[in-house]
Amino acid sequence: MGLFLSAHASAEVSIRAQPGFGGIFRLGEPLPVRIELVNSGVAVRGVLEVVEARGGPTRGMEPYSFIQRRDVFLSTHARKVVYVTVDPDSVAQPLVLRFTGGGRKHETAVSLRGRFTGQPLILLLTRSNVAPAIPLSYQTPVPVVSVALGDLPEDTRAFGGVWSVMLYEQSLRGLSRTQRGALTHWLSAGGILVVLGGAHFALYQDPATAALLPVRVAGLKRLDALPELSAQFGGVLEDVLVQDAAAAADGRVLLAEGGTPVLVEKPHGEGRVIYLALDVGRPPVSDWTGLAALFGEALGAPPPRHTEPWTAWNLQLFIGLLQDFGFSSLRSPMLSLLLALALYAGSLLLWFRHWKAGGARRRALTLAPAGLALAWGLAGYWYFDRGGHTPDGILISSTVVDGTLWSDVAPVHSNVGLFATRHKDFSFSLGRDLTQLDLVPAPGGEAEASLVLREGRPRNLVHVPLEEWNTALFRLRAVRPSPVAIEWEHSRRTYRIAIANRGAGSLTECWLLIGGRGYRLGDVPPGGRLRRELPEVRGAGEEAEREEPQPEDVWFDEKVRQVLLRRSVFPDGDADPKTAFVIGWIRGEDAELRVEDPRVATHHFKLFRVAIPLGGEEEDL
Amino acid sequence: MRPWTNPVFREAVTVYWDEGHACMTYLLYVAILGTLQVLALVLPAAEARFWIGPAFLFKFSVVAALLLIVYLTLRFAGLEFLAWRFSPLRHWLEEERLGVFAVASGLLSVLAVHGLILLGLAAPLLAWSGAIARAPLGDMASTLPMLFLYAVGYGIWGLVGLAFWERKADSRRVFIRWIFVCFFLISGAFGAWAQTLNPVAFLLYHLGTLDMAPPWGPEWPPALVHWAFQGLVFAMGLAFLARGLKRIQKGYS
Repeated sequence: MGLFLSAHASAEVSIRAQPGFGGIFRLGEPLPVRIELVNSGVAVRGVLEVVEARGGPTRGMEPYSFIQRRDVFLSTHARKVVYVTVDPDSVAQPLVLRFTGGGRKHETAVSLRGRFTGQPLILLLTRSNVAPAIPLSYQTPVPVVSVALGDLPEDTRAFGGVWSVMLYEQSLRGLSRTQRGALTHWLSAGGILVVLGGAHFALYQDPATAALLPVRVAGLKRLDALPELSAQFGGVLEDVLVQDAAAAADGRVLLAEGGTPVLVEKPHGEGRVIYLALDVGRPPVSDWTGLAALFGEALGAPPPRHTEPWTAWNLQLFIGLLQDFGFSSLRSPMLSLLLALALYAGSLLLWFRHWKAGGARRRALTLAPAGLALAWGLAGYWYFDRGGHTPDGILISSTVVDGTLWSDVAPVHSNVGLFATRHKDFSFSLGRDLTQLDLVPAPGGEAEASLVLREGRPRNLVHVPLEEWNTALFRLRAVRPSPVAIEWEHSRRTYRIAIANRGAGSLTECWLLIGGRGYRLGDVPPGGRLRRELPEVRGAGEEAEREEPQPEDVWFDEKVRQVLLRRSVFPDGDADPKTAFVIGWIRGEDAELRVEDPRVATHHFKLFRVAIPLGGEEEDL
Repeated sequence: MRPWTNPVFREAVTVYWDEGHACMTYLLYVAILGTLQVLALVLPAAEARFWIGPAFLFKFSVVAALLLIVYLTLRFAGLEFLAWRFSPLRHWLEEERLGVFAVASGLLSVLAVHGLILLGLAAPLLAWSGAIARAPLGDMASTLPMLFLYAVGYGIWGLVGLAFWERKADSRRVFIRWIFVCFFLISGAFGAWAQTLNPVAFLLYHLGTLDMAPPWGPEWPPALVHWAFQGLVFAMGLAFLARGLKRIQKGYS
């Protein structure tokens, strides 16, 4: 009986999902989706699929489905929460969530309509019973969403629509390692973390939180009056309990009252950490009329919408690379075909001569051409289909690592082109942090109706079904620690540059580019350092000294790298004379994408670049 | 009368294949088709879509084979090769007292054998181009019978030319070329319905290169219209051949 019952027992899975932060997200940016799977039956192992609508008229391409697939195990009568990041091209189509397991399929659709805003979000993290109001000026009508610490994303991309994360009486000790990594990467890429003072100052003294702060919090302190703040932002602020703190070494005090830092800022890559000693959740600060102006001063203006990476990638360029640089080996059948034709025609001619000679064997030779045609046909078919040097697919990736002078992290943009010579389901693996996968519109090139990203460890797997002689172009993005550190000094008509290679690969063929021409700097081995002092590029009418190295046209040992530089990395052509660039090719590193299929030829190129603004007058950076 | 007992067929067997006079034509045909294939791989076209020669090699080879096979079967049927070695039709119909049906079936058998040989010789080249172009096996398998049907369906008009202008070789040549140019080249340029009837256009449609809308609404799919027309062309060819042979039988010169 028990066996009978267990044989017929099955998993009953229900799926609930909440897109965005508290159900809100910024339109046009990636958003997190919290998916709750509730199993009210027996344990089941299955696959969770999240299907998002991509492409369509707004992207100038055919619509396609992007499917994220993940293996999930649900225990008996258990609940599991899974977070995924989605980036649909349209909110008109719902997200489809599908769980397949135990021979059954459970599906639900989540509408994204009515949940979006055009503004970036502010996330408020608090464990306090006091919910602070974050007053912002009418010019910045930004939604403030209260989020539990555990609901912070584990994926940096999910912060795409977030302007600022605010902590109010909230420690970061409860963050998981991946959550913390995502938060710090987002900060380094330009995010703003605002730490608001409060009565529970000890929460900011634990190492997980204190490491990020621009101050060392010591305790609480009562200030009878705050004349500086009142004068600058209006209103009257008296008898206030503030946190007593000392600015950290890299903290910059923006406002202080009676020697107590009130507003302190610390850069974090391209982002900032702001500390406000005031308790904005309790009177009298919560009632202070100048609070909105203070937040406006601290936060600045909301960031502009995320822009496309500054590289060009299109079908014309990809085909040019395939065609001009012999990556494809597509012409290899030519000689084989010529040889096969010659042998076939020769064998027919030979047969004809023997047959004309006649004799007793003439009748036996009558059907020989049929045998010849059959044998040549089959042998040639086998050779040309399976043999030869024509690969089943050719994958070219061109990666640009965009470093900065003041950040330890760098956005990584990978442009990938896959050309198929055979109808096949191609697959390649990606690092788990390199998951923002977009198809690039390619007239004439097409991927089939769906792209599948299978999440796995240590790498994710992407499946791309392609018809023969078709092309699919992709873009991938990630934020990573910068493999190269640059020090730059521009003084007394000279440029001083130091390049430190912290990556695993060599930095080769480095150039300093100014105004479209450049100085060749050389190679930097892994762990190595290169220093150069170069003369400033002279203006028109100014003559350079004879011994000085002169800028020259940029060239590389391989012409394909020149083409990538001019047509993909710097596609605009006109060089900005007020910006210098340091560039170098990273070689010998593991590729961003790995293809295990030996029938797919791969060619990877990776360039590091950093833009350096050139001031009008002499300045040290 | 079985083909191998048919004197018209036996005479062709002796001249074309026993004495081997057709072999040089076959060899040249293989050489031309092979050269065209190599050129299709070597010469990249200017249009961006066609930079990859191998992708279009099978389609190109099939079209080239179609044109060559039909042109050669027309010329074989029209006795453009070794005409002086063959007995005139009047001889079979009057002196040998063969019926119109016997003579027609003899001539059609010769035509079919020519078509089969030309197709068989081209088959390895088509198989190779299919493998290089990664063409689906279904496409390759379905193309061969289509080529044979076109060879016989249009080659019969070479026999019609022979029946009507046996003693006027120039008129026959003009007629054969006119048939070839009209049905295979010019007809493709007269809008959608003409493309549906054109063998080259239909072959490209069959191989997925050309879009073809149903010419008279969805209940008339292009394949039905096309093959109905090919059947009509063949039936008309048969009717004209019979009429031409009857004219000779009745003593017209």
